[in-house]
Amino acid sequence: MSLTQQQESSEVQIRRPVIRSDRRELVGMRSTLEFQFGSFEVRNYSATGIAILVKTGADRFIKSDTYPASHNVDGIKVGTYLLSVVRKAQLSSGEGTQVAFELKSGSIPIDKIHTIATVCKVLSGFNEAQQEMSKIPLEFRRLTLEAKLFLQNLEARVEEMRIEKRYCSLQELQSFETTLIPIIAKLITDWFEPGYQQLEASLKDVPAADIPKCTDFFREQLKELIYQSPFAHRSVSKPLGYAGDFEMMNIIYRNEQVGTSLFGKCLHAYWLDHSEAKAVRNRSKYLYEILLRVIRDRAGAPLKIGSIACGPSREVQMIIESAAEHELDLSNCEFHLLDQDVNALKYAHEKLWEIVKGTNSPVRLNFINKAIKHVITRRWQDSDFDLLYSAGLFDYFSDPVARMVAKSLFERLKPGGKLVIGNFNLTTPNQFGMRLALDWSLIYRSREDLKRLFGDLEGDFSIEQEPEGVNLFCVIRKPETP
Amino acid sequence: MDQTEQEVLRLRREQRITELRDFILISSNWISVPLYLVFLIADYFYAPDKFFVYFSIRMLIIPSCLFVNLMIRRSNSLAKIQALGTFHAFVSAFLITIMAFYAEDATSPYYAGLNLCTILVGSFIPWTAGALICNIALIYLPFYAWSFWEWNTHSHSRLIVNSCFMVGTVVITLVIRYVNEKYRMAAIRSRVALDQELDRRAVIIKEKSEEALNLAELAKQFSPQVVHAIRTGEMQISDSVKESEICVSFIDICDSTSVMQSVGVESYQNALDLYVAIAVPILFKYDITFDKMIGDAIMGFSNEPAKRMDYIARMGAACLEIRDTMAARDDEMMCFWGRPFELKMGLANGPAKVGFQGQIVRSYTATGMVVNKANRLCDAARPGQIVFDDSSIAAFAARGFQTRMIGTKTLRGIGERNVYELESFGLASHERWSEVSAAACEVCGTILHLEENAAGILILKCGDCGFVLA
Repeated sequence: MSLTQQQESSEVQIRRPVIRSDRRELVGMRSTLEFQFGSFEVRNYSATGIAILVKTGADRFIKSDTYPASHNVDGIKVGTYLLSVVRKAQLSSGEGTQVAFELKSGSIPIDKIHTIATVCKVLSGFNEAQQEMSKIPLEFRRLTLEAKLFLQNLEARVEEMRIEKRYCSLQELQSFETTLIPIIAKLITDWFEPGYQQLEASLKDVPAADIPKCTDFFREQLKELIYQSPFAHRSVSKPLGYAGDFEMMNIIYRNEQVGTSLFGKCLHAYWLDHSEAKAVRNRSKYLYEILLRVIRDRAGAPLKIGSIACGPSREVQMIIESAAEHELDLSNCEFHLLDQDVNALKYAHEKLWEIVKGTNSPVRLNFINKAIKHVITRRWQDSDFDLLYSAGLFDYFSDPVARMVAKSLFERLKPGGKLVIGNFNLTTPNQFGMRLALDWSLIYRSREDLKRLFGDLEGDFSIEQEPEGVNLFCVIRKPETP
Repeated sequence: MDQTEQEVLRLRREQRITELRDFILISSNWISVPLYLVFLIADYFYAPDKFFVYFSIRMLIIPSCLFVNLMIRRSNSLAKIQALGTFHAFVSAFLITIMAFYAEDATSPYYAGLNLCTILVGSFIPWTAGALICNIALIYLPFYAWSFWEWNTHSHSRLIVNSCFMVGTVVITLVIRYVNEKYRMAAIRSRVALDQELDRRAVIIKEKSEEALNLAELAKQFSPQVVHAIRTGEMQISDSVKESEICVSFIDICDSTSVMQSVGVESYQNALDLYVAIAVPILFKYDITFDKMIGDAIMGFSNEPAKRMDYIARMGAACLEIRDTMAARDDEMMCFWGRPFELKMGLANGPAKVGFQGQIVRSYTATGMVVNKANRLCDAARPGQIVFDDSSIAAFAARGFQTRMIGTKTLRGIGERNVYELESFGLASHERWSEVSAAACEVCGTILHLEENAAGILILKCGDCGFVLA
């Protein structure tokens, strides 16, 4: 063999890579080739070829023949080709025979097919969305859009007023804002109070499974507006996994005029002016009064107090701050602050130690990071409390859980000790608004409900409330002697 | 007539006898003679010339009083006492009648003495109705008889007038008597009702005390939720023994004998107390019955008296939790035990006789081959192992517990068996088994666990069938 022949031979032996365009499959779409004698499902295609599935009668396709065919994708004509058979292969799945063609001229419009596929997908999603939308009552949609229009118009007016003040001094601007904000907040309240009632009424015949669609619709439509309020935004976004976290309580306690815009500040003030927010502020005062009474009554004797789901522990801050003023002896006082949120505990720890150092208070503080279920399952062993209280926790418990937690807490009291359980009243207004706009669900209970749940704990039972009447407090005193 | 009314009448009869006797004695001792003597003053002004005759007539009351006094102390029957009282009343009235007619006739003002007799006799003395009528008749009859005997036109008008006063006296007397009797009966009824209430309460107290004692006994073996269910009637526990499918466990302490010798009895006991204080509540949490301690081994069984569909899995979960909890508290145990505290456990599932057994000391216990098997499996286990056989493998596998086959072992008295080890909770997440609740799903009986629903509310939910406890 000559050298040239040897070289050619070696070239032949080296396999050259074959370059061809990728074969594509159409998933979720119906693609067919229409021949004169019938229509066949397209299995895959490339720029230069196309393959079909022939269930029966693959013999009619002969290699030497050419076949004109039109190509449809989801009923839309993509092109007409002249095809010749390249190969036939029996499918191992038994579906039939795959017959592959190559185009005698031209190419398959890949881009067009891709565009059709995209449009169909988008349209399919759109149709689904429309079907979902149809489950939302017309009246609810109308009221939601009306609310949106109202807020948009109001926002525009507020923005106009703000722009007029853009050259004012800081003092003038602040004065303007502090005057404007409560007025706009009141306007929003006056509009939404009946508005929420109408919205709730429009949902009365909607199946429970479709309610989330309605609430999602409402929030989607109004999110650019109502979530300008930091309070509302935090409630819906739930950075700590739940609404009503310690920072939300702080926002309520601070009760400041804040927001991403002036209109946002107005909305923020609207939320913080609700009776629920007032009740939260009141309950810290109520708990403070209870602590004051208990500490005074003890007059320096050892006192063990526990706060379950303590949050920022505002009442404890108030007690330590006012100890000198009220001549309270906190030297034998122990506060055990339990919360499952370590951030809440850290915040409480920061604030309380600041006050303790500032006032040289001898009070003892113990921060316990445990989930409430550990209270129930007895992984938290602490006991012999003189006072155990919990506000803003039992609203998140179903009745059986509430009963179990109360029983577990009551057992941890020493004889003569007191258990205080806070719960939002059944008559609380704005329940629907909180659920709808803030995605904040609570269990509301009446006095009778509290009596039913906790009345059989063997102690003196009474129910108190803060000035708004929104927050009820169940007070149970363990007998002195068992 | 109901029992209460019968009791009331019986008490009234008893009281009547006592009161009658007392009244008649008082009358004969303290009233008749003094009153008669006081009226001598009236005699002096009414018939001064017949004063000594009147005095003699009045003194005739003394033998009557003496006779009645003597006889009444010996009498216990109502009829006799009433007869004596009536006699005394008759004598008292007859003497007045004699004095009235001796001085004058039916117009004599001494008739008023008969009215005094009527008031005294009729108002307060608790005669029976018949005796009262008899008394009143005997008081007035001699007077009227004598009046009719000496009838004249002059006295008849006065007699009629006096009769009106007599009738009035009788009426007033009867009214007073009626009111008296009514209040007396009311008092008796209250007393009877009080006695009955006290008896009823005594019975209740006795029942409750027995129940409390029984429940206290039950609380040694059953979980608080089972005891509560028995107490409230939700669960019935029979006194008889029955056959039932149960899962038995033996939990034994490794090397306890040598440890006792090395650490001493006190430390050993402290360790044992701590171990039991930890282990038994865990058993109770899963509604497992604490049968007994055999030496330092704990025997328990599930599915009786609290029926649970997942009773085998509960036993497995309890054993794992006991093992893990003791391991977590090993430092604490070391203080008493002096070395690592190790347990070995054997589980077996099968039929057994379950119920209150024992002649002298009765306790709720299980007997049968399954108990022996669990014991043998425990013997076959190494320290830290929880060992079971084919009877439980399907239940553990279905729950996703992590298990492994140890091999085939010969169990004394039972034979060759495939033996497995329960290693850990595995897919049967610890969260599901050890959280909370003794509350069982009302649909499938599985233990409920804590979960947050879509709205962020903490609920008790069944991990198997999705049941939510409302």
